[in-house]
Amino acid sequence: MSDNIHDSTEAAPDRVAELIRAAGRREAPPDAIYQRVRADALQAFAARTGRRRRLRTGLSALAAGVVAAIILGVVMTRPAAPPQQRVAELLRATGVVEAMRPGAQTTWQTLMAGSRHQLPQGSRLRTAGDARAALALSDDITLRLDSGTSISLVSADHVALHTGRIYIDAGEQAGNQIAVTTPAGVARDIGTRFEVQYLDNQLRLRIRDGKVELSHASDLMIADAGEQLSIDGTGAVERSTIAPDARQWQWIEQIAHAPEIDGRPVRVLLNWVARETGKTLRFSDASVESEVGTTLLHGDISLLQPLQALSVMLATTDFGFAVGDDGQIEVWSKTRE
Amino acid sequence: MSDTQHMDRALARRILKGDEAAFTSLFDRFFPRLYRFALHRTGGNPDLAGEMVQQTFRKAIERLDTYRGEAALYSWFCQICRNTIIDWHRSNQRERATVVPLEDQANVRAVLESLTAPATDRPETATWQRETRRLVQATVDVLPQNYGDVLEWKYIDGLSVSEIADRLQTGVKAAESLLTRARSAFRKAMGEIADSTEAMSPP
Repeated sequence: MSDNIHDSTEAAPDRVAELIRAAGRREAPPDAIYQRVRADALQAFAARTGRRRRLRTGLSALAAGVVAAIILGVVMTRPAAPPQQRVAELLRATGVVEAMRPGAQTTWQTLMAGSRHQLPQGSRLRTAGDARAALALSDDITLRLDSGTSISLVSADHVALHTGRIYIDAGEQAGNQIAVTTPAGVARDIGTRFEVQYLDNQLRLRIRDGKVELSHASDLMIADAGEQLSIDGTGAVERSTIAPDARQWQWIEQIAHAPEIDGRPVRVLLNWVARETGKTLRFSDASVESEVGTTLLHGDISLLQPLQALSVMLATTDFGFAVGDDGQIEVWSKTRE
Repeated sequence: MSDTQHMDRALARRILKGDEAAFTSLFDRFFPRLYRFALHRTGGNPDLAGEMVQQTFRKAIERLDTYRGEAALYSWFCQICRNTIIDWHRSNQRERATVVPLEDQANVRAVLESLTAPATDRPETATWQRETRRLVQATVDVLPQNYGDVLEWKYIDGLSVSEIADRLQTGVKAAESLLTRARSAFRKAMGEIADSTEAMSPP
């Protein structure tokens, strides 16, 4: 066998083209068999997942070609929850954050900061001017909106981003998954924290942690932690890198929702700050690492940004800290310096 | 775990959660390929091939929660289909098909050359070439995503990259990139088949 099959230059005989042409088109299954097997498979799927579905009849998959069903189907055929089912709760808001309830059509309601407003499925949200918002989609999944952003809450695990920028923290529980639909594609996390921006017909993904699967037209791509993936209006894809503690993530800290720390160990605060800032923790010695787990804090940090909260709360303890340029937060004991 | 396997695991999770759109998308992508896979292993019997694929989907749906991403999801389906066909042959007291698919054999290097060799009216060679064409088609079938479709559009239908982009509803650069990846994946797959075998001449 010649080595032409391994050629990677276009000047060499195009063995790929030769083989594909010589082999000819793959045989299409008879439509009757396709329809029969499809109906049976859908019944098995419905029985397996325990849901009653309206069985689809219709288009031959071969006639339809490659269909971006993931994009359309997630938006159009997701099972409807009971009306007014809560799918999100407002955790924090700065500036003018507005919501439109499903069916309200044109009536926007300003959400009050601190209101813990419950948002039903189908709600729309938007942030005007320099406003930002943080929502809880579940016990473990949070969503933040930057200024100038408009979204719809399709369900508890599906958000449609119309324009602007959002940040998803899918939490630490295995199995959490959320989809973000944009006009340019659908991003799905595979256990992660990531940012999606859709502006001026351009889609940009930044992955802080984990992986994200992006469906764009008929293509599927994976972006890993530390990657930025951009798709412009022509469909051109560009990949670059972004560190988890890069300054481009800092807007997220301004709308971070702080945990309750009153009566809880310093460790809880440190873990939250590390997660929000994308930095890692380093302790001066094993004793300090142990003591942060037993030293309790008292107070309220709900309106503070992460590093502000750390500074304020550690001032009440025997611990000091410094944020290095190496992506680390070092913690030490002031009494043993 | 490769990116394809990550995506496949995520897809399996969505299906198990009841995402019908995800399931129908998977069915439409896998069915034609599985049907061809079964057709050759059932003596070219369309109804039997359809029955084998129907049973494959039922079994796969039932066991989907056991899929761990060790292999691509399509490969996992193929294994279920292969076992289903073997069981059918056993239960019907039939010997396995005497024509063992080339991709199930170890030696295929020279068949790749024979595929584009001049035509001949020797029946042995004609059978060989027919089987080789099927091997190439089977290789196209196991490529991920829609690579096989893109390769057929380009080299059999003669579509331009721009026309492929229109069909995919994407930009020309994205279509070019997809075609490049499809060529690379096909070349790699055929190369691995060739490299893993001893040289063998057609009859």
